[in-house]
Amino acid sequence: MNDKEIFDRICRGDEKSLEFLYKKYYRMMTKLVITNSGTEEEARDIYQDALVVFWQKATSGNLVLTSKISTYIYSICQNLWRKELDRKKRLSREEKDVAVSQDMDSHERNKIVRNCIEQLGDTCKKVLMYYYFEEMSMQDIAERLGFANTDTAKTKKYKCKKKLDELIKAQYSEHDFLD
Amino acid sequence: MIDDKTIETLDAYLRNKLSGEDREAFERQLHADPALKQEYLFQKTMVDGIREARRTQLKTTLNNIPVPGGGWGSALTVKGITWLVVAGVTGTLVYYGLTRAVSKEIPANTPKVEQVQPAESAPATSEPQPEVTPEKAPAQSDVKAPAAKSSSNKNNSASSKEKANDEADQKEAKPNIQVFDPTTELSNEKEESTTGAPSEKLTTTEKASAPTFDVETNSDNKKYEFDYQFDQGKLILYGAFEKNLYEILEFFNGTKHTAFLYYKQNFYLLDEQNTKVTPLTPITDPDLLKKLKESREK
Repeated sequence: MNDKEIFDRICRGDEKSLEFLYKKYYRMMTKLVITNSGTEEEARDIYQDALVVFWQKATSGNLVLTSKISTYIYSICQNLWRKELDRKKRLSREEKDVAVSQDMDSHERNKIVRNCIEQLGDTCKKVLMYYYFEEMSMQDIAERLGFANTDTAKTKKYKCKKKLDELIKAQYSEHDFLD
Repeated sequence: MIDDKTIETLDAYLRNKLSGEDREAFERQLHADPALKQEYLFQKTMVDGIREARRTQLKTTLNNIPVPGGGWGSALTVKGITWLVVAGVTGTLVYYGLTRAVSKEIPANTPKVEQVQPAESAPATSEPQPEVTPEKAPAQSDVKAPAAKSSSNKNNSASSKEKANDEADQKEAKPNIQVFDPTTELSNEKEESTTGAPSEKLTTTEKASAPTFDVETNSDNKKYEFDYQFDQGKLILYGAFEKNLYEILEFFNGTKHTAFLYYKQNFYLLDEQNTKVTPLTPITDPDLLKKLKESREK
C-alpha cells in the first residue's frame, strides 16, 4: 500500500490501516525518543499518542497531507516528546504539592465522566466517540453503525448524550460538584 | 433554561464547527450569560471525557499490537553485530584488494602506458578516478575494497567522494582492470609517467560511431532511476534516457577499453566489469572532464 492509499483509508476510519502504520514505523519513531533520553516505554507512549493525534486529524477531515505520512507522524512525535521533556523539567522545579492540589477537583470530575461513559452501552459509546472525536457526519455514523438513516443516527446521538448528561449530573450532585 | 437552538450552537462550538463570526458572537454570549457559561463548562467536561475515552481506546488497541523485533535492546544488539560483521568484511577486502592491486599491477605497468595516474592527482582531488595504475595504488591508499564498498555504497551515497572511490575501487581490486586515464593519455604534461605517445593513444581512442556493446534503456524499473549495469556484455541504462540524447564514448588501447556515458552535459564512467546495478555518478575530476570534453568534440 502506498502513502496515498493508507491515508485515504485512515480518513475513512479504517483502524486496520492505523495498526499497519503502527507496526511499520514503530522502530523509526521510538528511536527518536530513545535516542533523546527516553525509555522504550515512554517512546511507545509518545508514538501511540502521535498516531492518535494523526488519526483524529485525518478522520475529522482537518488534515491535508503535504509530506510523507512518516514525516508528519515524526514531527508530531518530536513535538510531543519536547513537551514531555519540558513538563518533566517543570515538575522537577515546581512544588509538587501545589501542582497536585490545584488539579484535584478537575481530576475528580474527569474521573466521574470516565466512569459514566463506561456505563453507556457500546452503541452509545461509539456514536458519541465518532461524533466528538472523529467528528464524523451523521451520515457516516449511520452507515458505519448500520442505522436506517441520518435522522436515526441523530436521534440516537441525542438520546445517548442525554443519558450521559443525566448520569454525570447525578454523580456530580453526590460529590457536590453542581453549583 | 437554555433553548434548544443555543444548545445546538454550544454543541457546534465544542466541536469547533462555528465560523469566525459565529464563534465570536457565541463567546460574547458566554461572557454575558453565567448560566450559559456554566452549561458550557459542564458540556465541555463531558465532551473532553468522551474524547479522552476514545483516545484511550485507540491507544489500548495499538498497545496490544505486537511490535517488530521484540524490543530495542535486542534490536540494537542485532544491528550492532551486523555492523561489526560488515566492518570486518570490509576491512578484510580492503586489505586484500590493496595487496592484490599492488602486486599484480606493478609488472603490467611497463607496457601499459595509459595506466598512469599522477600520484598527486589522485589524493589531491579525491574525485572519481576511473583509472587504476600500479603506481597509483600506493598513492590511492584511501581506496577501499570494491565488493564491500559496493555493498556499502548505498550507505555512502551522500558522499560523492566515497562514490568516486567506489568506482576506482572496483577497478582496482579486479585483476583485469582495463581502465585507463584519458587525462594521462591526452595530456602532454610531464607529471604523467607514461612512456607512450599520447598522440598515438589519442588516435586510437576515438569515439566509435557505434559502441562495441549493445545499449538498452529501461525506464520502467521504479527502483533504479539513474543507474547502469552490464549484463552479458550489454549495457543497460536505468532511468528516463531520452533517445538520441545520450552518447557512449569508448577509449581503446590495445586490449584496454574504457567507456563513458555522456548525458545532459555530464560524463559517467561505465565499468564493463559491473554486472550489478550501479548508480551513475558524474565525473568531477576537472582534468578528466576537460579531456573527455575535448575528445567528444573531436
